[in-house]
Amino acid sequence: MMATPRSALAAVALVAGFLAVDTAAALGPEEAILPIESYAAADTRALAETHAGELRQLYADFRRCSPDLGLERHGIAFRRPRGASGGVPSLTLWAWLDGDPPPGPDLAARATYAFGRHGHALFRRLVGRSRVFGDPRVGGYGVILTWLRPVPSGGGKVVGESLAVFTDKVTAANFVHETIDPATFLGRAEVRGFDGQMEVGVPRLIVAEERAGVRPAC
Amino acid sequence: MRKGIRALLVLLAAVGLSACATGEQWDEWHKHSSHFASGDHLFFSFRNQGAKPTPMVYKSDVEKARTENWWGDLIVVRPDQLFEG
Repeated sequence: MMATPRSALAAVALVAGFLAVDTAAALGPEEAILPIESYAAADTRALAETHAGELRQLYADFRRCSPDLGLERHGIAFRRPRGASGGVPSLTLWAWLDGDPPPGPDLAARATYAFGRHGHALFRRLVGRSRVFGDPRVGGYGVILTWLRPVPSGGGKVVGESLAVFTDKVTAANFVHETIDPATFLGRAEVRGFDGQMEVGVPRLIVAEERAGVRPAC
Repeated sequence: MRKGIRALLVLLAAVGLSACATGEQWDEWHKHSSHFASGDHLFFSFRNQGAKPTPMVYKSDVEKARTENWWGDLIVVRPDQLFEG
């Protein structure tokens, strides 16, 4: 087929457009941490104001020690989790798994892998903010992990699968300091799974203790 | 100036690729003011066209898909589903 001037121009424009694409950049702290002015509730806003320095340190630690994770926009924040936990103000961190989706035939398997690989380290980061831990106004912690669901070979919509784990401070501290095993921790925590925006029941995750003990680089 | 050039490139790309869209894709396209949310979205879509066993997804794609809201392509849990207030 003979190329027309119009199609040739379109092709040149496409190439030029690709070359003009900005290089990727991770979220800065202003985007990763929920701004004070975005808090609707007085109690969580007060916590964010009191612990602004802790939130920035949490961000810095995350960037330094979790190179294979990305932060969700406004992913570091004090939030009130929905559900059985009663909505107590919690320090939460929402991260994306970069690169290939976790292995596994279904969401539960992929969630198990994702938590086994990252859950302990992320809760350790949260609990490690000692001033937050010592603040009686903070009721607990939450970790949300999101990854892209494997896309069938015929194509289809791109869907993010998510695992949300919320727990109280004492349970989190016991998990981090390994006085309780991962199975006990997950049995006490509130665990929710999402296939896109559809909540799905997640069977009790069985995370091998040796995988949960995997130590990150720092 | 740079935004104008980029918008022109996106428009030209949309014209050049228009023969590949299905009816459902056209309906989705008409809902928005531009076919792709950004130049990066255009590049990702072009890179992953055709049948492939797994998508070529890099760290930058994951971050940009979320922050630039690549509508019609990414479905993920909303914050109000997880949190109160």
